[in-house]
Amino acid sequence: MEEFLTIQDLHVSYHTADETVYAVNGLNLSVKKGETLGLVGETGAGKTTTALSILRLLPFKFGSIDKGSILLDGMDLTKVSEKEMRKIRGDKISMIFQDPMTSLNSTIKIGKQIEEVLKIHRKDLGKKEVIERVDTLLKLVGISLERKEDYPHQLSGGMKQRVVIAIALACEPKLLLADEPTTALDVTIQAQVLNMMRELKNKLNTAMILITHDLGVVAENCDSVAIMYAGEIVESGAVEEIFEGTEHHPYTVGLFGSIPDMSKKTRRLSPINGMMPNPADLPPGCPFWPRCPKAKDICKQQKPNEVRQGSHMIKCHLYQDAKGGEEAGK
Amino acid sequence: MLKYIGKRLLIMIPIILGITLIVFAILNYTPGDPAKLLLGFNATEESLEAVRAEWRLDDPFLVRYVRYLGDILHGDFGTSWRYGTAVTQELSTRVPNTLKLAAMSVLVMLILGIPMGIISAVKQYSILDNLMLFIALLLTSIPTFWLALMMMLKFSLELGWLPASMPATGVVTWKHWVLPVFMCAANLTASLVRTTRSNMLEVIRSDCIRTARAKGATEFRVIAYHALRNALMPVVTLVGINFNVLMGGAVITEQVFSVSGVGNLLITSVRTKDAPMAMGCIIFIATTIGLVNLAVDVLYVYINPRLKSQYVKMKKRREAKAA
Repeated sequence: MEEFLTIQDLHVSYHTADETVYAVNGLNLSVKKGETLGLVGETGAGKTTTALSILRLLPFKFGSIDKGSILLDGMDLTKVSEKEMRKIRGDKISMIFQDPMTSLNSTIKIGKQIEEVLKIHRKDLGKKEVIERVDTLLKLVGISLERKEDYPHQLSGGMKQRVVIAIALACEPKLLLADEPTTALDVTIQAQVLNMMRELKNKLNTAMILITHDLGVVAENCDSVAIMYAGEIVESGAVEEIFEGTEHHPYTVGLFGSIPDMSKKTRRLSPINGMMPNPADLPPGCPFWPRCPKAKDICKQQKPNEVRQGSHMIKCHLYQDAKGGEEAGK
Repeated sequence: MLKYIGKRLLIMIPIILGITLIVFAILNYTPGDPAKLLLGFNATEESLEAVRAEWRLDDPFLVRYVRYLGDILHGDFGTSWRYGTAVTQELSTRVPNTLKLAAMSVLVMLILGIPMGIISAVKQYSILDNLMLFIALLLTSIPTFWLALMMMLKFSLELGWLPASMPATGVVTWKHWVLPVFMCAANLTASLVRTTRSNMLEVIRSDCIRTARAKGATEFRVIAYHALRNALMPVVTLVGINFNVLMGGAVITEQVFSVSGVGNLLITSVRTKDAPMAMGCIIFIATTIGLVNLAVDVLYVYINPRLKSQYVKMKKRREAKAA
């Protein structure tokens, strides 16, 4: 399978009056056609920023892409014009936002909100065809057609998220960015929505970046995983490589360690000690060293390189030093 | 919805009754003999008696109040003590002027204020934004009467473009309206610019605007279609309030430019203790304010779908019950 989206050495920062926040620092990522990539990390790791950068929807004036390239099918999205970008948004790439409660416009009927994307990107469709397409989409996401005339506040949270998904899927995008699509929903609805997204994705052969901090969701839905920490991918690989195997980035180990194990009797949860470094004031060297149980002197001074073993990548000094950087991930 | 409007109209009746009672009492118990005011201080006791008998001023307060209410129900708002003409007749020449002034001022305020507010919000912190805010600040802080006088000096006396005041008789052209309307609108526009700006700023940062952008909508569409709708709700309230203020409060403007409006009439009536005239003015103003408030509330329902669905739901529920 060919690479569909490739992000290389992406740097994104937010500028405020008194500080610059480095949200994404040299991120490398690639997604193949039809593949689902799970982007996992703590709050503030830069997951949403990465997704917004792909769509170039960073907060106007405050956020900027400083360096790097985002290649979609060979086209560098950081370089195309705003007009060109508008054609891509909602058509080739669409995004499902985190909070369904606020991401719909409360003054417009949901049918109209779905219609809008079609009107923007499918100008060749007639009025009737647009309405037919809206109906199909609503059926697809499991909302009865009478609700078309409803306003967002008349729908439940799960239904709102379905509408958001219908909007995202309206133009059959090649790439879907799902930013914690189920975080705001309760567990039963979560499963429904995820199943639905998986089915739709398979039907349309859409590539997807699933942003989440729920490792269970990743295990069930993703083909590959990228673990993000302080704006960098610290480990990535196929789901099996991340969830199994013995060699991992200490952060990944910490993440998995913090999931409570139901089969063992434990008194306390075991979180990763400490806090994520302040992105306005990142430590030199590996950003994880202040919290890392295996930190060495070199970690404090030098950024680790990516160590690759097939599709498995780890960015840690642990593997570079001991094994010359080549055999990591075995 | 109709039921709601009916209810609101019914509620207005006791409110207006209360207002008439209070105003009637105040006018009644303030010192000064209307008969003397009418005839002058040199009038003989006999002629004073005659006038008192004619206007039936010697009856007890409540009797006169009830008689007044009875007259109103027959459409008779009494006769002006000062002009000797029917109150309704005097009002009918004044009301159109006041309504015209208020309507035009609100229109100017909308035409200027909303675009200025939007531009200000969209180009936040730019030179344009600062300029708008500066103008808004200036217009709010300059007292209306001073600005009016300055305008008169510049445009009427110096440049001679616009007439300084309205003729008591004769033809009134659009030129006569320019300065008064601008004067009334100045303050209001300033407040509208600020309201629109702050609402827009809040809305354009919201998630739903990001969703609209993610759909690939043009910036114009994002602002005009998605953001403005959400930002307009408080604006409707503001327009209603301002219209009400203009109904009774354009007094300064009306006086300075000698517009023969209701505000002007009310001031003169109170000063000359012309009770029936003052009552007439106040009833007119109170009724208009009540109606405008109602209109704003109804409009609100149509703009805000959250409120609309409440009424729809009631209707649906009733239909469901009937079925």
